Amino acid sequence: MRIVVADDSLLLREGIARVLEAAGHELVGFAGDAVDLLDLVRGQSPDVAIIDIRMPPTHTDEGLRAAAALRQEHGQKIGLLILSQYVEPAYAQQVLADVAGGSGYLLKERVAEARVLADAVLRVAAGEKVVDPVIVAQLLRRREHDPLSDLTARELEVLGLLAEGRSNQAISEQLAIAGKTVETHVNAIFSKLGLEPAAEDNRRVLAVLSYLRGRMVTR
Amino acid sequence: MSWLLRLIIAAPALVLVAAWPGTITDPLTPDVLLAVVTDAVTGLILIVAGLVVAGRRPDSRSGPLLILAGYLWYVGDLFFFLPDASIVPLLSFAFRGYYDLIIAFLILSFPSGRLQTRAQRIVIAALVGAYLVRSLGFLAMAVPGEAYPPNGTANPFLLLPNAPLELFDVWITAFKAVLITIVAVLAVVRWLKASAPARRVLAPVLVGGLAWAVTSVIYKLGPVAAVQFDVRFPPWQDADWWAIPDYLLRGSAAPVGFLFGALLLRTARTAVVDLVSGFSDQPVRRNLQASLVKVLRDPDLVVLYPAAKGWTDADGLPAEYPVPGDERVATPIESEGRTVAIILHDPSLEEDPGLVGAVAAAARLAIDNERLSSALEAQLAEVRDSRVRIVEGADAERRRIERDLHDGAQQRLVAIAISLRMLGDSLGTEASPEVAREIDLASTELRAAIEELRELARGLDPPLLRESGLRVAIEGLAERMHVPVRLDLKLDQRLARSVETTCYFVVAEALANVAKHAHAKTVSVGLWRAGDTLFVKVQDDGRGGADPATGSGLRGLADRVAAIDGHLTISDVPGGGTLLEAQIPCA
Repeated sequence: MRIVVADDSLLLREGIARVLEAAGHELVGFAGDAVDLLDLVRGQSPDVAIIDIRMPPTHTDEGLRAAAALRQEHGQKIGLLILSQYVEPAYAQQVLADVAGGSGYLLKERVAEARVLADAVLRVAAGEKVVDPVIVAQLLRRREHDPLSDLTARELEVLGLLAEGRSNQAISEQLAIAGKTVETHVNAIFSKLGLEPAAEDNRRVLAVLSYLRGRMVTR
Repeated sequence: MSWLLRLIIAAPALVLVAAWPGTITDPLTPDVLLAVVTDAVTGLILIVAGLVVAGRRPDSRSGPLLILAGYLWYVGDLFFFLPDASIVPLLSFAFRGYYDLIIAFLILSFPSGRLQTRAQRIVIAALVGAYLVRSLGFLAMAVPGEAYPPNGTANPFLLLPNAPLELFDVWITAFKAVLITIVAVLAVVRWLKASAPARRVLAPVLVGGLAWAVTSVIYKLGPVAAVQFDVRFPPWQDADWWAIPDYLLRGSAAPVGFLFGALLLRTARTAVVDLVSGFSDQPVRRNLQASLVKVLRDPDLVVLYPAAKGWTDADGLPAEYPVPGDERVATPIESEGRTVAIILHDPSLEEDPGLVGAVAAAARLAIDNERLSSALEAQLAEVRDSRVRIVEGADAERRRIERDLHDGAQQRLVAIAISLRMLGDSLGTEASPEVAREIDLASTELRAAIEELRELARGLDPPLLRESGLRVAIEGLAERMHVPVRLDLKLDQRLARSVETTCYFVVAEALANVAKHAHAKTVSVGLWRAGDTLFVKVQDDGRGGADPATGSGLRGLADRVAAIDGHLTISDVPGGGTLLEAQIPCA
């Protein structure tokens, strides 16, 4: 897999490079800011771009805008993985909003968990969605009179994995249950939460995330 | 002047008037009664006018002079009272009519009591001379029993028993009539030359004075006409209707004029009170000049203020002073030993130094007040600015720390986590179980440290606020709450950073308090803008009892809101719960 990394911290770039190379990926270039990144992707046509959300010049959310620009320019050919220090579902939702391509939002410390990072890279390259478990955990936190209380423990588990962007296949593997059973759970969850069943996985993630976020507050 | 003093001053006249009816030997016909009452009242009018003027103008001699004139009026009547007392009737006859001197003097000098021109001084001096000559001539020539009725017994001053006293008296009287005519002319000239504010006060004096002068001249020409030309002047001399106007006009027209003049002066002083009370209007400078022009009725009045070089007018423009040939008088306004302004005004106002003094004092008050309040305002503005700077400085510092954390410690910790993981992987299965456990433990600790740092950084400078604005940032806050949050955020536009940051921290602190202390089931957050004010409202259904005085978080919040001229209130909701409301200017 050909990967580019955009991060203004040399330390992190090197760390990420070591992890990815150890996992057998090919690092085809580094960028220190969004402009460099766009040039680099044009030159290298990588499979995946790993992008720090916060880069010069404003050190806020340049990464998100760079990702949007890359999606615009290169379509679904490229997987986009945002690395961030912010546990903000709003950002995650923004990353998932481009339904068609593979994209993800991971907390930066996942870099230290080689398997998680490698898995996320593969998934975004395959056009899937990836949401950091910490964000999902925050969204799944329950409150009084929460519709989530109607779900069984297993259904909650499945919901969490759905929110992380897993496919039915991946869920069935992770929970060691049959694909049919996963489907049953998913249908039950959607009907209990009153969600329209989504035909396509990426739309499903977005719907679940929106639902989970939306129920946290009453507007 | 106390009422007691006034009474004491007026008492002799009152006693005189009260005793008068007892002295009348003639049958009390209406004519006689009328003449007596009119005579008595005229003197009293002079005295009362004098008392009033003295009360209004304690610094002028006009009042005492009028009182003196009142008593001099009665000099000519003394022989009625003491007809048999040796030389009293003589003196009464010799020195009667001196009140005319005072009236003539005051007509030309009211209200200051000072003569201004050479002509005035000459005519008054001549008049005094004429009266003295007449008195002395009378004493020298009056033969008891002939020249003055009715019962004069002796004249120890008699020098010229055969002199033509009557002729002498007639010509002296004629001379006095001429002088009084000149006084009347000078009074008119004085009025014509006076400025607008002075004319106003002098108008009643002039009217009364002219009435006095005309009637006095007519009265004095009567004997001249009779003796020299053997005609009756005026022809209506003995008419019944003439007695009262004759007395009243001669004796009272002028004092009533002075009285009105003094009352007008009083009005000007009363206006000073209005002047002071009207000074609250801003700007003081222009307002002061306008008020002074109005109060002193001097359209040419200006107020000048000392500048670094020269003077400036009320509008702050350079002004020329002194201007050669300018007849206006400058009254300085001094405060704490230095001149803070000068009032250029009509010289006639000087005739009432009390008025100008009062006005200057009022102006000084106004100018001092403005000076002090502008100093206070400057100080307040400085304090406000410094408070804003402190808050802004603190915010900048928070951002700096957040950035340092993010770019420094957080990155390093992640890098260390990576290294640690690589180390564990490279050791692989060769590592002893202890080493593997230590590495796992270190990784877990590191993750916890990273998490803690992340939370810390987030509280310092929330990235969502900066990038996406208040609404999204408050939604982010709400999502992290353990109690359901009802959001009513009617705001999509971006506001000034200080407003957004303050508002965000208000909501964050309020929600943190709800989470920590309130035991609430729900909390609602409202945010809306009305005009140039941003309204924030956070209400929970917990147990209430939040008090900014005890909680440093809320206190700091209130200070923070106040620093940008906002207002924060925290109150208990009846039935339980806490309501926090903030209004923040967001123009």
